[in-house]
Amino acid sequence: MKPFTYLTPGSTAEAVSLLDEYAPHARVIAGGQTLLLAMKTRAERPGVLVSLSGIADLAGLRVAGSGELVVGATTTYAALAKAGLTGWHAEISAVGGDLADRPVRTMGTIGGALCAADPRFDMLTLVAGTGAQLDVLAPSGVRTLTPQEFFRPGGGIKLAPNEILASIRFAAADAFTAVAFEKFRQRTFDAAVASVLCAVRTDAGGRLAAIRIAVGAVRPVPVLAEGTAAELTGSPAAYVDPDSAATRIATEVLGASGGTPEEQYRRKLVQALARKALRTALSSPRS
Amino acid sequence: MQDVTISVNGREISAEIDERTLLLEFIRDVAGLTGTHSGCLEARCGCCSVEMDGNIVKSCNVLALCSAASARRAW
Repeated sequence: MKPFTYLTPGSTAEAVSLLDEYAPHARVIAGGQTLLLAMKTRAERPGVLVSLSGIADLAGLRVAGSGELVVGATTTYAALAKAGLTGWHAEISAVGGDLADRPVRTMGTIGGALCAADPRFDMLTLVAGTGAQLDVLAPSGVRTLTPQEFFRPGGGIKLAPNEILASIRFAAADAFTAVAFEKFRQRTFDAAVASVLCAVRTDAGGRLAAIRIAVGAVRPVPVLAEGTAAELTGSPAAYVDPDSAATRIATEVLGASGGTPEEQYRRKLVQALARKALRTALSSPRS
Repeated sequence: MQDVTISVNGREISAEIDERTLLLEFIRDVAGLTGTHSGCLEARCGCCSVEMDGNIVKSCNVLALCSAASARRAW
């Protein structure tokens, strides 16, 4: 590790002004589970670390008046896992409780994963798939970004060095009737080789009023299968064939055929995961 | 260098440490508790695991400064 100065602001305003003062050499550290590994290999060499661990308002979950679930950026995976969320929000807990390993979940944060923007991280697929809103603090004030605006198409994030991701706002518990997340990893504590999230909302007649499908880990940022989603919207949930829909998703995201053996493997993987996610989301008791 | 006080196994230990000091290094080299093993140093193997505020963490992937406000127990 290269030497650095360690700063512990007590408020978000102070943190932003410190980042503004020391940009571009300053980096935010939350749980540090990704950043410290990168610093050990000197892939990251910040001169100043601004720790968010002392800022109480950045951690924790609350339901806003609009029904949205507001998750503070420094909320740990462990906190998400035991939050006892209801409705489709329970899937957020499930995803938070089934990644990396227990010691990493104690320290690792949702905002840290999003800002590290490693496409293999489950939180990216979750946020992109459910269309969460991301609140960013800048010296000039707060701005809200969609996942598409937050992530750089080629990888990484679009935040300026003096900006902080403050909170993630997930849609209200009744925005989706079911959300299913599926991933494949080599060992339980590994990051995903591929992940798929399927979020559906059915109307009173059992038709798909809305469906969102996101595929993660196969591109520098999570990809939405918007074409397939548009085709499925409006059809009765009971008559959607998960097999053919999964094939269409894999084709839309990764092309129809060919490629290296690795690409072919990835396509089959996405297809299998999409099939599982669709089956779960469409067969959920509420849909 | 920065002054820090960390409670290990109920004992308050104060030292002036380099900012880069990992919690693992603090426990082994400053507190002298070598039962916490130094393994892969990349948050994989888990042989450096310690309890921090009742939760398990891998001490090779936490800065000693990050954990200064909390009590921990080395195993």
